[in-house]
Amino acid sequence: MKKIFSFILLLALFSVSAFAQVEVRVKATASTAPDDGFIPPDGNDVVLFSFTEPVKIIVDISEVPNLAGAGELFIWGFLNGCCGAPTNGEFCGSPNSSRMVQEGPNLFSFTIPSVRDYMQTGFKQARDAAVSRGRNPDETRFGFLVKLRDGCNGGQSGDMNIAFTGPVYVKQKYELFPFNYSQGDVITVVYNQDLEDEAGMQSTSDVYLYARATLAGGGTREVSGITPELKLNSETSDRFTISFIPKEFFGLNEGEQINNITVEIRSAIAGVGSGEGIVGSVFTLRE
Amino acid sequence: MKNIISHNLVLLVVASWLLLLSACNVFDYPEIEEPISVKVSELNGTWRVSKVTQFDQEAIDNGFPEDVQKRDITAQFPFAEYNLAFTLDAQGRPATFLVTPGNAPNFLAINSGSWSVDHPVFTTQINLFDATNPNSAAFRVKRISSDVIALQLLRNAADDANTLYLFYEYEFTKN
Repeated sequence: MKKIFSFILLLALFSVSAFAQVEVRVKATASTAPDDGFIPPDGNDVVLFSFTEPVKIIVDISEVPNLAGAGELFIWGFLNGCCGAPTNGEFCGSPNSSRMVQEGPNLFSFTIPSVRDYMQTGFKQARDAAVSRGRNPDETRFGFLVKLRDGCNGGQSGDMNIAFTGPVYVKQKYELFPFNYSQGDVITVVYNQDLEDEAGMQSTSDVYLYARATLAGGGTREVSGITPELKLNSETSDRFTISFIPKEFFGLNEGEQINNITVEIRSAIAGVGSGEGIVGSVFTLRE
Repeated sequence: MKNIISHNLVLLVVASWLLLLSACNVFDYPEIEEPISVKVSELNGTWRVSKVTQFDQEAIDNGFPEDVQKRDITAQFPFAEYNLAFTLDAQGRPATFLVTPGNAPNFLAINSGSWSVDHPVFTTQINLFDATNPNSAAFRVKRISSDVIALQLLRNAADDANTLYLFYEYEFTKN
């Protein structure tokens, strides 16, 4: 019965994710409300979503005096009790990758590919974070605030937290197998071309990997080119893969550690690519 | 006497009901995949990799579709060059091991030394170590036929030994 219920729940969540973009609408407050600024799901403006599906977060800043009227706004994501989003950057100078889209006066949005991909954490860390904040492990929450590019002088909202459920598999254009890996493991980049929205990339089977490793402590390593070594193998007519061991692939020196890997799939035609995306989550291996 | 008989009758009825209830109770046992044990003598010899499958533990835990839980990576690298040899001493006990990876990826932190098992008859784990080497490794024994054995190499996070994030399953064929 438990399995049947789980299957129905899975199917229901999948149906929602398959047919509608999940949107969460919140009204930002100037300071953090009790319970880490938790905004419980109401089934209307704040809907429940899964750990692995894309979510568009729409924030109204009209009631935050330090932000109201701002021309640009940035998101700062975190899991209370765990960690901050890897793309947060500096609080005094948010990067453009965290810039929100203005939807109207005092209304901004930001779409995360999923909590998993945005935070680059596994569900276990999300559950551990819930426990560390004194909650049931199933009470997992995504935290964020909105801010000016320089948020160090009070230009920020209070913390907000919204609930999410466990993972549901949602096929994505770029996938990494396995999701969690160490830089000494085999990893496989999977390109699901049936989800491609770039017209120039939708029908070509001659596709190549561009990959950039961001290293802990700064610096990057890039691998690119139209070469046989970087050509993806065709598993099916719309599924392409390439496997490698990051440590060797990026030619890391002893002691260098990868923080994250960004990939783009490119065609042999110069300038035609599929857009960049960060894949997977790097673990430090326990020897 | 009548009271004693009535009292015993009540006890009998209650006991019968309890027995019936316990018999009808459906216990929700977890599904356990039993490791299939092997004997030390069956491990003796040189083994060559015939298949390598990689498993994503998070995808397994999440109940994701099977094709995103595991991948056959045998053809992606020259795993056929990977050899593993176990020897026994004169008393038939585990003695030495030697890994000869060739050009295949090698995820073991130790390539030669001694080996031991968790049980001499019902072996489910093989430990690899060397007194002169701080590194060690272990295989989980998955299954075996007369000339095929599957050994799993688990990968755990550095900051949490309980966080198994992936594992490799090597299928070896005896040379």
